[in-house]
Amino acid sequence: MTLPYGDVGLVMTQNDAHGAKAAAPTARVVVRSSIRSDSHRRAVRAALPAAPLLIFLLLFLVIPIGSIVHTAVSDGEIARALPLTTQALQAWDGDDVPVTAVYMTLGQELEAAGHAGSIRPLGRRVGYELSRGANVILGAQRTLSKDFDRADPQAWKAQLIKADPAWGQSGVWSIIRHYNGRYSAFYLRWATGFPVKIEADGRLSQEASYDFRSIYLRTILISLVVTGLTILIGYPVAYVIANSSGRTAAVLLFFILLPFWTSLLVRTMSWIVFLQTNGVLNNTLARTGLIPEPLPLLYTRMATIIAMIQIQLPFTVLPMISVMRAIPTNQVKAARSLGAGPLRAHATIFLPQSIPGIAAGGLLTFVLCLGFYLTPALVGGPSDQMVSFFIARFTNEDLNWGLASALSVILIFGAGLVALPLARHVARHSSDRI
Amino acid sequence: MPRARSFKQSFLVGLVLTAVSFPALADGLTVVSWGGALQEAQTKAFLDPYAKANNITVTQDTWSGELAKLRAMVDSGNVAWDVIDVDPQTGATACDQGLLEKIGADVAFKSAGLVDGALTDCAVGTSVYATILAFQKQAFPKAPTKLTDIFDSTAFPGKRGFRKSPVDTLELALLADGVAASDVYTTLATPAGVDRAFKKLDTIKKDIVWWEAGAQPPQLLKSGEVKMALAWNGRIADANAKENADLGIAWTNQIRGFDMWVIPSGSKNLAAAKDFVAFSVKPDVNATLSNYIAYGPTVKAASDLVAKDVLPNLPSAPQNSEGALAQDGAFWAKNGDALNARFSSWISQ
Repeated sequence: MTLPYGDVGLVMTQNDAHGAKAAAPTARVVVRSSIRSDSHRRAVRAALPAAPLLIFLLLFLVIPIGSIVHTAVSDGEIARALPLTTQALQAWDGDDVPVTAVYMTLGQELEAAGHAGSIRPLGRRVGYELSRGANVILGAQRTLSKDFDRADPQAWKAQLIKADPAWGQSGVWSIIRHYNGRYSAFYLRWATGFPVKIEADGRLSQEASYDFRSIYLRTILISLVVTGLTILIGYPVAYVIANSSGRTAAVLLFFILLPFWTSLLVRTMSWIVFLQTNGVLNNTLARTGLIPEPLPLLYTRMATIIAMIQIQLPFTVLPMISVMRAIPTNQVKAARSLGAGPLRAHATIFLPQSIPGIAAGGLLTFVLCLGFYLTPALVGGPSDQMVSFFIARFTNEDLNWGLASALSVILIFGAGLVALPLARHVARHSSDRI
Repeated sequence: MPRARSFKQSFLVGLVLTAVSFPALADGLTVVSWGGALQEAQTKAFLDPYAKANNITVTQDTWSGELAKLRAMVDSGNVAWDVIDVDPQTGATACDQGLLEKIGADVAFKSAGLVDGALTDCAVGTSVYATILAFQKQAFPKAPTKLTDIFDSTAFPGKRGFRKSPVDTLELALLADGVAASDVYTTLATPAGVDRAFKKLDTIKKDIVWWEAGAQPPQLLKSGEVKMALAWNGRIADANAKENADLGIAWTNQIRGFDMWVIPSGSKNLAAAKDFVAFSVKPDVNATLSNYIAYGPTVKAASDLVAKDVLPNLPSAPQNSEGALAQDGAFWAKNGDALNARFSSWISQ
């Protein structure tokens, strides 16, 4: 009576041994699959609340980043406008100039591109890689519209070389030959600072161009300095807030959070007012007689760094506070009671335990700093601009979206490379505290 | 059902709105200039009178000569601008790249009696402006007298403003380095000449504050951010007249240019746009611009109609013309791309 189902089950197996044996596999499958579909359903149901997050990530992270990567490697202008020429050029060995027949193919395709309206994008694309490249393409198309013997390939060749002597050299041909597909690493090579521009004769161009490596280096350097200084300034602040209670902590926290509630633009503009030649700071210093004439503070790297520190401080301080609050105060007291001085007790007991907070705050600030645009653009000089400035420039002004995307891709993956291992480290070491 | 109705309703509202806004787009004329005092003056002298006389809506937009924007419009076939104000080099570059209607051959403009250089393949000049040196009068014991003084940081220490563009900047660097005005463009056409100009700029690079819009230099001078700045003369005269800025102007070595109307190729209102440009070069209309900004007329017959009291402020006044250099649009159309690239990379270092 205590185990009724067990008894029944036992009786069943004894009585219907044959039938049960035959039925067992199917029954087991049915049961198992119903269990599986049930657990499947349960898993789906459990994941449902996360669906908005997943959809959000897909729409605003995966798809945009994917399309940026796609733009960075898309490079189909040449193959699209000159499909037959690129094909015909595959047989060319790259020495001197291609055979005369190719000139005719190219000329006809240039004319077609002129009618289809794809000649200027083509000219711009060739111009990225060949000095005066846009003129070479547009000039050729213009000269071909004049009268000459269209049946004779020699005449096409003569006409093209007359339009621009570059057609009689290997440079432009080697570029057209190289881009026979829809994708290339050209923009990524450009964005990582490799020399990409050549002269008409195929030599590397001596023309000065953007030094993207030093721009990335500058971006990293400014971000590191800002991160370091926010940690130095933020640590004591976080310590005081974490160790005070009630009203004092609330008031201090309020001051830390205050900048969060003001627009980034407003905060940056107020730095302009504060730092300009006849601004608040210079006037105050001049009135106290500390400086004979106004200091040049605005449009400098120092102004950029100061303004960025002010904006980033809350991001550094808040994670520090949450970690410091979890550090048991009696451990420091114990160290003190065992004879350690206040500094030694702090350095050996408190500081090591607050490192996850410092790392989390520092990492957050560093990664955010890498993408700064507005603040350096407004308070910095031309030599203080970070990568984002150039991304914006190439997106809005030069309309060179391939290069802008390539710069973004490198920035995103560079930041990820730094952030991910550190973030895992931080998470591992702080999981037991937060 | 309610959802369907609300969709239908909003669709109808949208349809009505589109219908209402379309005629405005089709009939109007969109004119683009460089904002600030220049555009205000052009509005008073050209746009408003034209709109009134022809009962047409004139919409305005501003730009700073960024060709990429224009290029994007023309390439996509979605040209929202009808008439654009350019300086000679922007006009020549855009014309060369096939972005503009070739209106220069039209009889209406050929017979308008424009001064030399004011009519090119694609552009019709409407006023003469000059890049000059403006300065705070009390900043230096001895006032600067010529544009090239901006390179002399011993006699004139402090921050100085330049336009963030190689145009005018490189020419001036060569002038300051001792190249004669007549040789400036031939020198700048050689790699050695370009190196020389950048080397000269290097000597004051750390003191330069770069501006982008024409309204900025008077602002920078007034706030004391810079002590002297290259600027367009009309903007400084305007700040002196309207805001009591009390800024000095040095005219010697002025770099002269034309404000010119161009029409982007594929403009949806080509006929009206041409009509408007022709209106701007009628002598009596052309002369009125000088009443609102210190820029001179381009129509020969208009120069007698300019009010006497504004003459001394115009770039063409004899006492202002010493060592004047005319901006060479064709030079920039040919070399602009390479020089712009070099300038952009130089400035970011």
